[in-house]
Amino acid sequence: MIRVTSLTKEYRDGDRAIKPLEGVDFSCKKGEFILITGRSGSGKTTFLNVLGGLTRPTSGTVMVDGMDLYAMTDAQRAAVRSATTGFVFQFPGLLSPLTALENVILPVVLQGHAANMTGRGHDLLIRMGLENKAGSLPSTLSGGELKRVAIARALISNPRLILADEPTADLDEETEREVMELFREIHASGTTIIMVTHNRELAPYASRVMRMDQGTLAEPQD
Amino acid sequence: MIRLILKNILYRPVRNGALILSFAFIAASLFSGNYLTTGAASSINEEISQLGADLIVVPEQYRAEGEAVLLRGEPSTFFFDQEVLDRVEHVDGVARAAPQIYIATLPADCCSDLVQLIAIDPSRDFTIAPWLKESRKQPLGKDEIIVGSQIVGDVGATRYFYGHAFTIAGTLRPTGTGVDRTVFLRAEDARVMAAESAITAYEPVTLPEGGISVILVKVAHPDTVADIARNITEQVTGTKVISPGSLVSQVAGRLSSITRLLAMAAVIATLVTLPLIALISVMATQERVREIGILRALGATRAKIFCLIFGETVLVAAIGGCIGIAVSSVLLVLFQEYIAFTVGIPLSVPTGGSLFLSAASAVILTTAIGGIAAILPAIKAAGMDPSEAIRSGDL
Repeated sequence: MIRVTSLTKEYRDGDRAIKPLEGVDFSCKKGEFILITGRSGSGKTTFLNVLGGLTRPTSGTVMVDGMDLYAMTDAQRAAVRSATTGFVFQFPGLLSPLTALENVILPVVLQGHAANMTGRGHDLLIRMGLENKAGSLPSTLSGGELKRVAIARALISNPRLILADEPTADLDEETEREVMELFREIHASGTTIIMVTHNRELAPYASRVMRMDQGTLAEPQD
Repeated sequence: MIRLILKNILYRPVRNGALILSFAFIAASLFSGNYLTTGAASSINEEISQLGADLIVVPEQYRAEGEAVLLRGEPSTFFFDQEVLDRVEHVDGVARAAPQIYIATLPADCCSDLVQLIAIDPSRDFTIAPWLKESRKQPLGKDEIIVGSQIVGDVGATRYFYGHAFTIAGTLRPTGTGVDRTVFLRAEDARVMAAESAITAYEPVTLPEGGISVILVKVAHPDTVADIARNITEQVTGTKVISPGSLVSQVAGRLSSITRLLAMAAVIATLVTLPLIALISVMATQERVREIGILRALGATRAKIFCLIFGETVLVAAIGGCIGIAVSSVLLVLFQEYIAFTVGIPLSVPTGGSLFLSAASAVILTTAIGGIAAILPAIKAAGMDPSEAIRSGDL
């Protein structure tokens, strides 16, 4: 499904050259749940953003379903992103003026396909155990509820790939477990998941674990 | 998308409320200036059409009084000799000439202010006669009067001027000019009223034998109005000619200071608010960097982000523009008489077409100002790197 070859990302911070990604090779089959662990600043989030078409690599290629993501125009990349990929961020990333339901259906609203999606948005909220929170504003929801709304939003377009960046950061143990159970369910339904986290204890949820260290990606030795 | 824009606007009520007020002020200034100019012009045109005259000849020394009667309904009494009428009638190109006698009343029971009586000669008149014909009314009978729209009293009611009883035979349509505060009567009734006033009025009025106040002139060919006005002034000594054009330019002169003031207010408001609005848009965009990044991650193209940021300010500007026009319209209509009196101009509600045009152009201008202010922040937002945007900023 995804093949990454010789991926390098480099930018300058004043006189200093920073290389968050250096010659990364990676591949992911359909239906995998890959957990990428690593310390803060190891390049995990940058890698996820490159996979999602959010930031252009300095060199290397990212092929998604046989298409070179960075050979496309920005608009084409946005279309591929909205059709195939769901994002879950470290922070909930909900829009404050919108209700939980409106946040869930936002990706399809941006695609202009919002008609008849309210029902699916409701279904997803029910699946997340938030059936009574559809009309609530983000400011009235708890941390766990916010995260679950964000996961529902990632699922609204029925994506084949979920990219999750530290989705359990800042959550208490119980909420973390609830969220990871949701990811397990999503994976069980056939969705490919690539999740980055510094928390190695989440490894049992994944079908494969990789480790990122100083911009390089490898299968862990231990 | 529109829903998202509206939600964003409603979510920041204070900031967007302040912006709406600024845009409303700009639109109100633009619209009011236009309203006053077109309202005054429409009023004069209505009056000219009501009077049915192309030119009005007045005694040389009473030109200002004549204009005051026509524009503002300030009552006056003045005369020149009837022989002037013969000389005006003989000027080439004059098709018809109708004399009128202007008499300022004492305070009357119909009105809080003084009233202008205009006595007409029914055999020559073309001011009231067409109206009577149009309204299928009989020619003006003995002691019957036709009153302007601001004279209180229904048809059939009795009104007393200088102690003489008159019956209201009809009411003219509003013009926003002096005609609205005018009473038309027959010259022979006016002379009877004047003769009786020595006994019936505590301050009698005297009409000189053969005296007339103005001569209304209709020209044979409308395109020769200016030439005939010049010929009358040259050939009939002691007269001045008031034309619709001169009334309009006099009103324009009176209005120029207020329209200049309104235009300056609009320009200053624009100059002050444009950078302010641009700054607020930049700040609002800075505050929403992460939101923009998330929207990009969720599939929004650069064009959509541009539309979102640009659309918000443009919509705020359009809402402000509409509110400004609505509020200024209400105020202008409510205080129309006060404004007309204070500025000394005739004023009526402009025609639907010109009103719509003024309102539409004010909204378009205001919206354009909003668009100019928003364009750079919108381009900047659309050009943001999504991953950088997500990494930085708050939501």
